[in-house]
Amino acid sequence: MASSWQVLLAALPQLAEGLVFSVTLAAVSAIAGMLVGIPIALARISGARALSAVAWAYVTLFRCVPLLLVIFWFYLLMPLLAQRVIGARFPVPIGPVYSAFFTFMIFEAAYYSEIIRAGIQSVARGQYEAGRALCLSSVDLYRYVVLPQAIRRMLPILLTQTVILFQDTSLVYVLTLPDFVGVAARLGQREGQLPFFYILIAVVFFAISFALSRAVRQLELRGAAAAY
Amino acid sequence: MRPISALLVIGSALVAPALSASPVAAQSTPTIDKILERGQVTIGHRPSSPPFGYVNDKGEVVGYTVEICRYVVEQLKTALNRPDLRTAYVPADPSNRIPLVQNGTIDLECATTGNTVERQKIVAFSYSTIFPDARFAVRRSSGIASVKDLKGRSVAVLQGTVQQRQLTELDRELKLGIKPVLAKDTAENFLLLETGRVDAALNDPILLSTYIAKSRDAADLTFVPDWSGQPENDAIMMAKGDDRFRSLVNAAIKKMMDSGEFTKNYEKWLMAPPYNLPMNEALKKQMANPTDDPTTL
Amino acid sequence: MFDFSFLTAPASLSFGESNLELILSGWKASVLAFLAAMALALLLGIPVGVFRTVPRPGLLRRAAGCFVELFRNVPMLVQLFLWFFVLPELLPRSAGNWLKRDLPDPEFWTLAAALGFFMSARVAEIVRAGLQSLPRGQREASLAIGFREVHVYVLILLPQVLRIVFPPLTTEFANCFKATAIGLTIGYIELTQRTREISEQTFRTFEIFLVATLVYMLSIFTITMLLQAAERALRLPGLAPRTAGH
Repeated sequence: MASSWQVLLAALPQLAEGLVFSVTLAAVSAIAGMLVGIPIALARISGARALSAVAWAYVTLFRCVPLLLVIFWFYLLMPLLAQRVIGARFPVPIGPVYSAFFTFMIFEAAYYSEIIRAGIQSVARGQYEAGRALCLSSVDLYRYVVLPQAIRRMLPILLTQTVILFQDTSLVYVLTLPDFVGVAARLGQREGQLPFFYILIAVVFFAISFALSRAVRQLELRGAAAAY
Repeated sequence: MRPISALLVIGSALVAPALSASPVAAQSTPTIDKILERGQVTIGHRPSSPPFGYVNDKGEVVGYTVEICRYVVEQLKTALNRPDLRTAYVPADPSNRIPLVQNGTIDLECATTGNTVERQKIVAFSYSTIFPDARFAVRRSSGIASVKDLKGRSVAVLQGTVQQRQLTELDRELKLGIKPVLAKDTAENFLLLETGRVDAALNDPILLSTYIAKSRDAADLTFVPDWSGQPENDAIMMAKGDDRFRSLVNAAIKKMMDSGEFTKNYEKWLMAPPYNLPMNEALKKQMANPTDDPTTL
Repeated sequence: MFDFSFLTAPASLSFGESNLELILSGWKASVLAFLAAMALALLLGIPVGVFRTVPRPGLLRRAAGCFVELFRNVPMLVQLFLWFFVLPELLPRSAGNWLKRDLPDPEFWTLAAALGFFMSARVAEIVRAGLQSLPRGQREASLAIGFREVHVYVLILLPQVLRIVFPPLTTEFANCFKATAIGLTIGYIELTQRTREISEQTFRTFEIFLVATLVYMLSIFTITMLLQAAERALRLPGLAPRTAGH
């Protein structure tokens, strides 16, 4: 295996770039996905029927189709859709990188919104009633009473979903992007060392996901302790 | 599931594409307009198909077809009077290259894409840039010495290529019962053969030679001698509906051929080992009298 | 504006089947992979989940813990590549060649195995959470009246747990069906792959992706409804299933 290690040493910079790409993709789409998820969650629990139906449809649509299909959908069809939406004269070239970021943001927003909704709804009715009785405005009610409690409850689940998102970023491999899996596959094929490179990325993915899940678990335990 | 809600979902799924499905308003030069507005030409390349296109050790996109496209871009800068045009590179594999050209992501698809009458209905092609055929690479030790020996064997083929069609037709004609295994790109196509997953890999022999030369089992790999596919007219693929753009690209290729740059580029990539492949008659004829008619071969 | 007529037209790369028939054959391939993977996931996941809750810490509990962490923390796609590209190269030559050559439908079985193991870790976690949500008294009472440990699980705890875990399990069944799409990366021709193929051949990208999306949605709705019906049929009065989980 000595030659494998030499190959690895030479490949390290490219592998590192690939890993940075995957981590960035996960981090950016997690934050963007949560930001998009909040209004969807609020729309779902709002009293307005049409609004909550649209939010429900959004969530159901994305939870019913494989991420891979959505990746292809967006990559192939977004430019035409964007053209219509902004009224451009020709299809808007989006490119695989932006397309990947956009796909993950939109897709994960559906999942995040459900977690956020469950978190908000888990706050007991009495809390709302007490807040109203104190003449808090709706904004203040959410800001000072509901959200602090809801966030504490949903945070571990949001983070767990983010670990899953990080693993799912491996799927952009199908767009031939310079992501961690894509780089490893390309180098492994070029050097004739595919098994070595695949085992390597599996170990790295495992180490990162395992460490993150452990951290989430600690957070969960601390949260549970704080609730007493 | 509440039926009304389900309908709503289906409805919204229908609405989204309907928004964009209406035909693009007739534009005389949509590709040129887009290039000028963005200040950028986007080249689609196939990363794992040396010598036509690949990413070298420094991370640069290079190769026979890529160099032709770079020459074309230089000519476009002059023709459009925009020396500031940038070049961007987007990877594309055979299964997504046509949609990516259609949806405007790629302006010039520079790989080995066959110009066919069927594809001309939805995309446009430049003058042909190379005329490769297709061959089966096999292991000598597998005992496959003739195309008849492929009976009941598995064959790796690139998804969405002319070769996939050729394989289907050959299979039908000779009733071989071949099991096709679809590969995403040439690297995977060859890997399936090298690791023993399939008995043969069908592809452009130039591409296969690249991988055979690098393989540890090079001595055991060879081509089936008694069959080669109908040569393809490989060309640069562009979006349909911009004839001015296409004629600019063709003029650039013509200039490259006339100036000797084209031959120089050919020699750089294909007269080098492991190919040592002199220009075939079809390409010589093409240089004397370039055409983008797919039915000439 | 829309043109769906290509669906009934003969597909160009087939022996006379229409594009619609190709889509259906892709759907069938997805369903088969889903069934095989889910069967394996339940077969492995339930015992592993049980072993994670055995009262005395020991080899069994630790092994089950490692199993779950291993299959949960490596991306599904990477796991699939390990099964397909790596495993046959690590095995003795004859076994590796058997996997690659003699095994009928290697893409199908590799996908089923990879997906089955991946999903089994999730099933195990659900079963574990379910077991831990039951009152401790049940186990203690059973032991007190002379049940053996095995019988406590088989006769007392599991029949209850397998009922209360239905809702989270339904989600995992749906996930498993969607996950069959990664089979396309190893050349398994399922629904998403067929969709891409037809889009490449007919250039009707919008329409065919729309059809595929609807087929996926209907499949997920059907899986969900079947499991919800099963849950209702098996529900025990007094055991509220919604409280399972954390």
